[in-house]
Amino acid sequence: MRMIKFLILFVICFGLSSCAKKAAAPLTKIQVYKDLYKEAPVSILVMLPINKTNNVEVKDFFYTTLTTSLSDMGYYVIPPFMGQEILRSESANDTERFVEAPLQKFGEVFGADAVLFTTVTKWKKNGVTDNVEIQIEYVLKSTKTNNVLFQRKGNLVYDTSIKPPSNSGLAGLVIAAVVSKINTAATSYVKVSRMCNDVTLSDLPTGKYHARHRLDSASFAGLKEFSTKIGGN
Amino acid sequence: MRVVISLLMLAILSSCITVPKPIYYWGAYEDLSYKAVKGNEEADFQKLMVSFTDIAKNTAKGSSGKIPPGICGDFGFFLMRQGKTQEGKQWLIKEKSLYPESTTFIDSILKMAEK
Repeated sequence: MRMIKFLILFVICFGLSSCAKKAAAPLTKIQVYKDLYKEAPVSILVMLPINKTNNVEVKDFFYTTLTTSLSDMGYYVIPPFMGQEILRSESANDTERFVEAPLQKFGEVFGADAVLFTTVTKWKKNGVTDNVEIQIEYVLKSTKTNNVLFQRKGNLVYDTSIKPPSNSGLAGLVIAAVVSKINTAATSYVKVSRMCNDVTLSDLPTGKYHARHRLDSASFAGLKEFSTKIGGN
Repeated sequence: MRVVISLLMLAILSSCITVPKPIYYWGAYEDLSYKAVKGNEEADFQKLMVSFTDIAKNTAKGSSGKIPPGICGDFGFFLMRQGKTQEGKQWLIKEKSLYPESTTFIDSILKMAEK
């Protein structure tokens, strides 16, 4: 009888262990973004964000903060005002037309190695709490090969009740530094947009002008789509 | 006693950690460029122009010590739009010297200005 019980237990354990999925080993940045490391883009043309929300200002919130976010990641960004003027004059400021189009022309005219497309699909403000739910996707494409060099989608909640972490090491201090940019009295959506960029683009391998350029290839890459809360008072 | 020593070490260590200096100093650029884009009014562009000169004067506040990408280019572009062609050209040339990867674009703008 004891032998039978032991056998049943063994079979159950074996069955359970074979069902358990092996946790996927985290991938490094060079594994996930191998085309980006191979092409090593230096200059980026930022296209006007595609706004699929009901808030007409969202496009401007993000356009005016993308230059600073990408520059701080070590990339050269085509001067945004001059760039837009030329795109307008060439009737090329309708971003959606170019998402799937060949991008070589942008390389020839602007000298850009890559083009950044940004699509905002959600910007929902809660009237009571002032919290904002944001869904945004960033796609960086090569002007030489048209390959996607970087793609990441963030589901973010700007939560006004979050306080900056005070005792969570260097990472906490960096987050606190970003969070502290938010004005406590009047929520500045320009700064919220900047936070969305910084959090989502934090996975982008650093560019030529960053001190960690080419030193981040062995770091673990984040998820292609993620959800997190941002904010702080 | 061990707790006191641990707390003391933690305090010393945390005081050593400093938030890294950003590569560039941007001043009020983001807010002012948003207002200029949104309002498209001359007064907002004037404030943005002032912020360009503020950024150019305070490069030491960034770890690179350089004017950030695009600032000299856009500043030169606005100056040229105001009729200050020579001064504008100087800033465009400065963008090229700071960031050689801007050469293709800046040269095409300079060529357009010649016409």
